Amino acid sequence: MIQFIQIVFFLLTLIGVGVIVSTKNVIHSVYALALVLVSLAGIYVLLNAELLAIVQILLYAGGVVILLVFGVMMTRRGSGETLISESKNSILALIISLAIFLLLVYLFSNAEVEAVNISSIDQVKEIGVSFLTDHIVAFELIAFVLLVALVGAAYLAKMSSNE
Amino acid sequence: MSYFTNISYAVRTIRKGMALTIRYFLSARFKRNKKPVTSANYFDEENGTFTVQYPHEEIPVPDHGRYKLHNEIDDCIVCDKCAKICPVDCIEIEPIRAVEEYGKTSDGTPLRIHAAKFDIDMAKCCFCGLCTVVCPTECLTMTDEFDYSTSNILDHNFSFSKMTEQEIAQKKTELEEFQKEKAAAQNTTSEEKSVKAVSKKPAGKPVFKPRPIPKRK
Amino acid sequence: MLTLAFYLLFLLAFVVVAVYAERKTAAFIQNRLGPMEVGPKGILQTIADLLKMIQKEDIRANAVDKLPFLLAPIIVFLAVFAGFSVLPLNSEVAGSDVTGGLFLLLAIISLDVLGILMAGWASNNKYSLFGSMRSVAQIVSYEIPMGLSVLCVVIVTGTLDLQKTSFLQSGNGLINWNIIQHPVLIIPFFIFFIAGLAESNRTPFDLPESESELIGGYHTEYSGFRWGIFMLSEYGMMLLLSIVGTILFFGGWNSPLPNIGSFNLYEMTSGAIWGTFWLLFKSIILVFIQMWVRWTLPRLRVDQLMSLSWKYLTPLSILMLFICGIWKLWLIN
Repeated sequence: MIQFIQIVFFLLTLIGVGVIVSTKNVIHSVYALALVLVSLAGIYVLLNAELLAIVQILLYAGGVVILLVFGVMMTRRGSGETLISESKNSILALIISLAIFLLLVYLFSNAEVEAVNISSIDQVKEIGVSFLTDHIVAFELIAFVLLVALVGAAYLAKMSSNE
Repeated sequence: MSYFTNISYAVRTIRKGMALTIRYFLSARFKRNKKPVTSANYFDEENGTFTVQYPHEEIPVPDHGRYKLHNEIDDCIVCDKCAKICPVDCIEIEPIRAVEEYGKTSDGTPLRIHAAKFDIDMAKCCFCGLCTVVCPTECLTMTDEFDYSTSNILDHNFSFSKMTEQEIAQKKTELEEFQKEKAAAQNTTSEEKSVKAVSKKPAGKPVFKPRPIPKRK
Repeated sequence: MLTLAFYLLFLLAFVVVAVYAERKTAAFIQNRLGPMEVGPKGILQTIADLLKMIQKEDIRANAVDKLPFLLAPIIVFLAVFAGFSVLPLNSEVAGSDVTGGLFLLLAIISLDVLGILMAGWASNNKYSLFGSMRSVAQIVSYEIPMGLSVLCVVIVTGTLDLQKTSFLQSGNGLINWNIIQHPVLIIPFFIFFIAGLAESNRTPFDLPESESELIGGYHTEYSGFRWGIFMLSEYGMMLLLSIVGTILFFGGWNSPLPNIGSFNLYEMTSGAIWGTFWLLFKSIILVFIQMWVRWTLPRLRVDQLMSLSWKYLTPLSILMLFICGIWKLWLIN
């Protein structure tokens, strides 16, 4: 049963990826991206990485995709015509993506990953504790970067409204 | 500082508004009394649901309300005053002079004209009530009936004449014969008399005394 | 699985009753009677409306983007309904056993933005587009105070599992509820409630479908059954947020009646069926408050909406997060 669901999610991911690459309508490829991200979240859940799945949905499907759709909408309204993506340099893109894929396969096949049974641990607690102990510098740094971005956005918005 | 003022203002106003609406919600247990407009505290009915479910229940209207016109044809002397005063010409009358006085109305006015047609088109009526004021015998009245909507506008033309086609034809021939006889009689008499006959008052003019309208309280 | 099946059936029944209740509430607040003709006191009005709606023609304009147009209502409904999967029903029947169920719930209901955007964009209609843009801006901004207010409860209870949250509030009725046990949660509850109204696009935050200016907002071009799914999702969202609010602040499926001396009123009103009853009863009271608010307060302007979220609710919820942390650290232990 679980394998069947897994296959369904894999197929959905593949369909989504296929649509992203093949469609000329930008907004359709954004929808397909959302499909890919949600299906990946489903695969994460089946692999017991529930927190990762939730974060994936919250940040990517709920955040990044919405931002992309917003961006596309604003662009179209500005020029007044449908946004069509042109698939230029497809051979070059194929070569680059193939190279990255092979690199990833090479890395994964050589990596030594410890098998951890993550279904037995409290993921939220573990991640939270390691955020505030082992990775405190990185965590605070990211928080600081986000704060700077926020202040910058507010400043830009204020500047454009004053003009 | 206006920041905190705003917050307290919002909290206060929302609280007040919510209290107001919940009071209305709770008062929906009560229903409005179906009092007529003439009752003294008609406008005090504020609490409870106000809707009147019309076909199932009604607010009583005064029986002298200006709604549908009604003509009591037996009392009508077909004087045509109502048709003349009507500002929108919604009353159509076709009179046939009777050969002789054929009856009396309930207030004693002699009837001398038949109403072959007495139609009131309520679709045209502007409900001014002037016709009821000028009516000498008070046979034309406005009733308290207000719900007479129809799907065909022609059905709003109400016919009050009770005469059948044959009766109308009969009365017409009677009148024609009478006039022929009269004309014949005039021909036989001397010519100076015919001058007199023309200046004679036309027959069928109603004799009436305006009665004082009793005052209503 | 059991909770999800129960909630699906309950949601359908709830929508039928809630639409009627909404109309009656509106009527009573406005001194009217509301639906009275179909059935005794108009109780079958929604069923008649439903029958009419199903029979209506499924209109698709020529210029719509077909597939997204057809998918959008389904995505909105699925996103809202998936949120029900983690809710517990009573002390015996818990929801999906996911780590961080509450987190999942917040994540997955934020997906309905995608469906709304899809609907607005695919309709190829300026009103729809405006509606969906407003909706997205609104939902994205109110997710922050909402998440933070939920986080206040998570700090105090120390768990993301809704069933555990409910168990923490059990025993001796009313006085064990989060909002009474931890009075610091009163303001987070109000923030949660306001943000919840905005998330479910209800008045006074119904800018996405403000009839007076945008016709129907993002569902302008929808008719019949597809429009009905949007309606279903809106009421589903109301119910979902009310149930979550009940679980987080008002004791979930716990009975509100305390034990008085040796008279064990709490134990008498606990159990599987009682628990379900209490959970749904409290949620429905919250739904009623949402309706009451709807018929009291007028719609906000777009700038007011944004300033409410960013200038008032977000700073306040961050402050409450801080206070809740202090409460948890020093005052409870």
